[in-house]
Amino acid sequence: MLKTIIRQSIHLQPILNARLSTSLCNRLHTLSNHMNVYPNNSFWPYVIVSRRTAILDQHIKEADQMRTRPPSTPHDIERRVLRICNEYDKIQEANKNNITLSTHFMKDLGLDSLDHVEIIVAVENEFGFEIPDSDYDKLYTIQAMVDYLVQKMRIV
Amino acid sequence: MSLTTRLPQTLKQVRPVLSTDHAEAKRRVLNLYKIWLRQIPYLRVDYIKNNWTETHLRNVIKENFMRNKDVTDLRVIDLLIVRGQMDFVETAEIWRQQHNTALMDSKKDSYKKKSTSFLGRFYEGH
Repeated sequence: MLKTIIRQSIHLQPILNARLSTSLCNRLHTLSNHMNVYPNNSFWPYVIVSRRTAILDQHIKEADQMRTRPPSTPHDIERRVLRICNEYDKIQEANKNNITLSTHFMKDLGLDSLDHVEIIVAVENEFGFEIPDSDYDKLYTIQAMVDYLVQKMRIV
Repeated sequence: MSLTTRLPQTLKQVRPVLSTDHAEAKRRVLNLYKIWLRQIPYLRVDYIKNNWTETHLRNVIKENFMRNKDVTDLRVIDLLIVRGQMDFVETAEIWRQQHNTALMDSKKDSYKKKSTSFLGRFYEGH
């Protein structure tokens, strides 16, 4: 991607015999009347340049979308996990604002193992990777879950 | 001496259906719960005529699992797991009919309660 961008930005000198497609030609015909259209559909350089910049912009936009996100901090992960817990409707309203890092799912919030599975599935959907069954019994507190996620996402 | 003290050790254990101890059975149950949960958005689409919401489906699945929470016999638990998984496959592959699925209705109100008083049982036949 970067090579294409560099290559195209270096070769910005005009090419007089570029051929554009007929539909594009017709559209350009209607846009402005003072275009110098040769019968074999070749244009003046400024049209070529503007088309090149359009392609360049498209490349830059794609590269921007493919750029990896900045590495998230543990605080960021913690915030997302807390948000998931707050959206979970089985937790009583009174406890929702008291959810801290050291909240134990079963003892403090009164959830059972099926609810625990539900929360883990929600966390999996949020972060995009699968948590194996053997790790379920490590993740009984929020602090443990955040540590586990940090460890998994740094390794990957 | 009583019979139980004289029974050899090999006769005391029953042949397991699927899982050998409660921890393994619990793992299987949680796995089954997980795959039902993951299937919820597909259920909503495949059986779209029923207009199920996600919370309704979650509650029904949870209720179905909680109905059997007091079972302690390992082989019964295994059979229930197998039946639940068969249900899951039938539902996922849409071998059921769309309009005919009362499977995701809450069954709380449809169970006939066993009558506890003497006269209640008498009228029923015992």
